[in-house]
Amino acid sequence: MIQSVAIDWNVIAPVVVLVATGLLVLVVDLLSRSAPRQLLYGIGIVGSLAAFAAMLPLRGQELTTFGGAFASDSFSWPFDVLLLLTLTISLALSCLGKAEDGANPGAYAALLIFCTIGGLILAGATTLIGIFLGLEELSLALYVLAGTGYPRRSSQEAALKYVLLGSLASGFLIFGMALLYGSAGSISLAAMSHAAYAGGPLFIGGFALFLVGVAFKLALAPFHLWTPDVYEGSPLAVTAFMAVAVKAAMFAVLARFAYVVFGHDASALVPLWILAILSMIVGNVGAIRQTNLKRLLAFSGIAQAGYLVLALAGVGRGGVATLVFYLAAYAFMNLGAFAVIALIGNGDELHADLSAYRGLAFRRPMVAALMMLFFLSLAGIPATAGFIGKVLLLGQAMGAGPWGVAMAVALIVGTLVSFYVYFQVIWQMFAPADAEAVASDGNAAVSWVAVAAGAVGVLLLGIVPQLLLAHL
Amino acid sequence: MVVLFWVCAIVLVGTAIAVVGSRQPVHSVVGLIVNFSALAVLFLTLSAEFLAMMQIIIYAGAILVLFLFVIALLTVGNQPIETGEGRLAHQTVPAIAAGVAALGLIAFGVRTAWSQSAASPPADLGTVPAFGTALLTTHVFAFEATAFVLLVAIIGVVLMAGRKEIRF
Repeated sequence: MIQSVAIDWNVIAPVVVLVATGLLVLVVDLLSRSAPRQLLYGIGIVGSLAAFAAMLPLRGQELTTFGGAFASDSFSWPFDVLLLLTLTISLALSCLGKAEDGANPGAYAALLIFCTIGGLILAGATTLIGIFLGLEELSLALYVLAGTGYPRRSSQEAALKYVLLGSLASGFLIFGMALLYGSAGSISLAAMSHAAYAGGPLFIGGFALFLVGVAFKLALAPFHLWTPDVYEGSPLAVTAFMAVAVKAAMFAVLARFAYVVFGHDASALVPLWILAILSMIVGNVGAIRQTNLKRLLAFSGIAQAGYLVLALAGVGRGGVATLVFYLAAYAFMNLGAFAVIALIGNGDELHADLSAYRGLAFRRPMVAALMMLFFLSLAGIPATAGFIGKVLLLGQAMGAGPWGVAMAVALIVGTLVSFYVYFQVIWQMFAPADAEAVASDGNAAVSWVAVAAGAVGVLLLGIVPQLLLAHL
Repeated sequence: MVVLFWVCAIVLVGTAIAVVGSRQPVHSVVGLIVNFSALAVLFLTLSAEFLAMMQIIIYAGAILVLFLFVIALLTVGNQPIETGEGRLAHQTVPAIAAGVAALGLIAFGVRTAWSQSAASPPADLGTVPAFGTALLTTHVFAFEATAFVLLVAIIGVVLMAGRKEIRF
């Protein structure tokens, strides 16, 4: 008699709802060839809201299913919410893109949804195999999505670059996992903490290779070289999704790893601190000379990934709350900024160039004010979410020994450098306008919804952070 | 058994060198097929029946046939793909260094695993029933999740192949 594994479907209900949504989108696309894109994306949005509803009863609980292989707990729940939020806004922004000949909206929406499912699996996985499968699902979908702006050569370049470098990083990751398995004798993260305590070259080598794979996906320096090109080449909605969702999912993995595996030994994470400091320097300095907003936000994302690592410094579970808060702030300000780019460009990718924003403050004062809000939040000015997030990060880092202090210093210096970068964008909006830019400004209702969601999030988290912090 | 091991080992190393060394892509693929078959025999001698079958069906069967199709469709004539000075020149030293490092790590891993296995593995390790039971009980989540990874790959191919016009 074979012992079957007890499966609690409630725990995995959000994933099941999203899977059903993805399949439904594919079937609707198959049955009615003439279904408008907006209908398909709308199904996706409704599905992600339904998945969110399925997540509500799981809040604050520590549950596992599939014999402990998948968990819904404080390491996955908040990250799952961010993933669903990102999916919803990205699908809304996708409605804007120009309908291209030969484009396949059904497959596009399904890939975005399955990409999110990969993120949910990553956040909930408690075994190395689960982490790897979630990551591959997320990555494979993103490789294709990066190329969906395909008549542009830069989109093809982005897809090719991403798939080649990403596969290499996956190779590092799985080799590292094999060594970790060898040293721990188990694929479960809980069992790995003994091996982490014992240390040994096999575990250290395995963790180093694992970290390379994770750092690549997080775009931590020096594994960030793909980021600007891929962000620039991908369609705008995909870039927005990539910037937020991948970070949310990977930080869920990293947080679980840091607390479950290294619960009592933060010194083993020193390589991660070094990567964080490097990222803050490279990201902020690299952003200075960028004239394309997508590239600028890519470098900004590298620096922000470095900031986010700070949350994991120091022992104690307080780090997860800080991490989630800054990730939420990051999600709102980035999605907001990308939504403004979509609004101005009206689906035209060329409008990510900084020169298109000259004189925006006089042409479209409302849009410019909101863009300014997002960039002030990225810089970390008081009364925005970015400020509160950075204060929390600094508090977390200062209690984490010399490496924490070093990272705190890097964060402050990096922030000062980034002021120059972000104020440059704001300055452009107040500069005299080019004549030809004026006529082509877009104004679509869908992107207004996304911009408004971002602005409300940034302001609420900036002025009344207790709204979120009280629940973490 | 020992003779079988040495025959397989020599075939494995020889064909692996042939894969890297030959200038004709087709020769590389044929070398790889022989390599994978020898590897399957090695798995059999270790009584890992399931792995041996998978090695033959998936790698030697499906993947390499796919490689052959790609080569047959993409290369016109029998011109070697890389000729002249265009080859990546500075790869040799880093490649050898990385190879030695990887070999060292694997050797160390195998040694560690050996020294730790005070308890010998169960007798049915690697057999088809044991593998199937583990796959559908302990690892059923990974088994199901794999389905969606494959689905994503299929959707991706449809999306990329369905374009009306591909510009390079």
